[in-house]
Amino acid sequence: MTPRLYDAFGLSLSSTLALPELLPGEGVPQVRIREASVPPTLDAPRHEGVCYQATNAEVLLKVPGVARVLVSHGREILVQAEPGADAASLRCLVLWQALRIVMQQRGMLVLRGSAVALRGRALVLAGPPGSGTSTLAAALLRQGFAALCDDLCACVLPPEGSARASAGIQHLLLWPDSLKAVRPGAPTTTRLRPLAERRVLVPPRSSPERSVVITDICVVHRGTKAACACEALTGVEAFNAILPCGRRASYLDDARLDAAAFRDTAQLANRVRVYRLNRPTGLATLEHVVETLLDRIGT
Amino acid sequence: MSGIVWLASYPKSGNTWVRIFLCNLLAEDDTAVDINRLAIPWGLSADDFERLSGLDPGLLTAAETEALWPDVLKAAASSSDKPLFVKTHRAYTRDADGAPFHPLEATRCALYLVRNPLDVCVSYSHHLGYDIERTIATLRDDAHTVARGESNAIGPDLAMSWSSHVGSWLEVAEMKTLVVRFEDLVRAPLASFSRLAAFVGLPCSAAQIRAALQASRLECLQEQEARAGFRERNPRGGLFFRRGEVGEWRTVLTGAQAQTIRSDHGAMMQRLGYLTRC
Repeated sequence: MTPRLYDAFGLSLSSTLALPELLPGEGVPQVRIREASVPPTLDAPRHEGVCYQATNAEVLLKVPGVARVLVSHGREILVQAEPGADAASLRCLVLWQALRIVMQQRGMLVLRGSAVALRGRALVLAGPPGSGTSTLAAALLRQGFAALCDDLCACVLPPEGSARASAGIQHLLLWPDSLKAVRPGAPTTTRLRPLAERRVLVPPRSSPERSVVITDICVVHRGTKAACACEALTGVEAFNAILPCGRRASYLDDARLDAAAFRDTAQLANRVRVYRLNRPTGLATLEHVVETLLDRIGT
Repeated sequence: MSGIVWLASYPKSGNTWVRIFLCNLLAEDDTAVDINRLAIPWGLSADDFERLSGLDPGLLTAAETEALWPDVLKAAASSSDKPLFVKTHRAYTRDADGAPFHPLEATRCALYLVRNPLDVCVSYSHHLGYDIERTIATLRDDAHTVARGESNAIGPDLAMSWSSHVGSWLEVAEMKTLVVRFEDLVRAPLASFSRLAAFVGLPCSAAQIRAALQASRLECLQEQEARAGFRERNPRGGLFFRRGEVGEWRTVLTGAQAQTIRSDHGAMMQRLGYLTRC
């Protein structure tokens, strides 16, 4: 099959797998994704876990019943599907798992979170699993924002000037109760993968720009109080809030990359406005959370 | 000596209280631990799952997550040189090959907490935000699942009915298990908590046990929850730390409701002495 060209996270990609979640691309691909034979194990792995092996340059992922995937040097993703594996599961593995490893191998700064854009400004919503960044992003789409990326947010820091968020996977991943809260009456049958609980929300508006200046980063936490609070952070507090949001696999323990992530996070914290949003658990107050956030960032 | 120490129970049976007590016992000073920053967390997190497996659990199906959990738990146990306390509301289940979900090779021991289902029903109805009738139905539901942690991504845990849950743990023969009744923790705290602390490998003086109990008093937990909330509270339910009483059911359940629970769980209640006491 002739590879198709895509553009995601500021990278040009070629893929023999169709990846409709990504924007079309052009030019010479920096990352090649193709179906090929993948070895069952790596020689002399430095790290091993339940479903992975890793060396400094390669990561082998094994998802039983779906595929083996080999991610090499930040430049190549090889996929060997298991018999009967469905296309959505393969795409899921490539887009949300393997591309993240590619970006980490390339030393890119990737946050766990979503970004939405309005009038040439990007708002990044970052936070730990379960904090509700995708739900908030989906709610902001109803306020006129356009989707830029969900789950993985690649931040680019030029030597001078503003930090930028690159368009990534623009489909939002939501749990059924979140989808119901942000899209009352919307069909909840579009699953990320067959039998997966998470649903896919194709945004009504995607950002026409491939990269947008980040003006605000909101680090979202599920709070313990009924009230919603959003406070501005500066200096070390801002850095400390953003650092844990880095989407980094612990098995790629390259000191050079770790140092780069530390430096880039510090620069990012210095170039944007940073907030910590403590939102009540549950979805009943979602509209109020959105109002609090928009009021705070002055949109 | 490493390995997992299971803190196992059906929901609302004193598991969080014991966990907070152990956290206070392990703390370096006498200041009560912050209930929102417990050294022994609710359970392994989505980040833990991903760190140990290499896969984001939010991208997996429930069946895939379920199948991977035992290996993730083994990896968690082998990556720690200290005992790893893990709370579980899961019934003691086995896969199709007979292998237990709570892997034996990763286990050091299990503390099983049990409480009169009549009081569990009252407490659980507040926690879930259900009425009593619906909670009674939940207690008899063998398909009942509970959250495994704070993130949806790590999948639900199969608690089963109260009787099935209790029966499954009481029949565990291959794992060193101490069964502790919630009622004994309330009525004889010093002796009961001393016994369980020694069992899980934390032999302490009576003074240390008393200090940890003092820091884990219900009023202390309620004060913290009122001031700062509690991250493990069900948003659809009421306060987490409510009464902690033995026999509250007498003033809440109707005679018919209590009789229904006795009918549903009579055999197991008899075995644990709950038909004649409490």
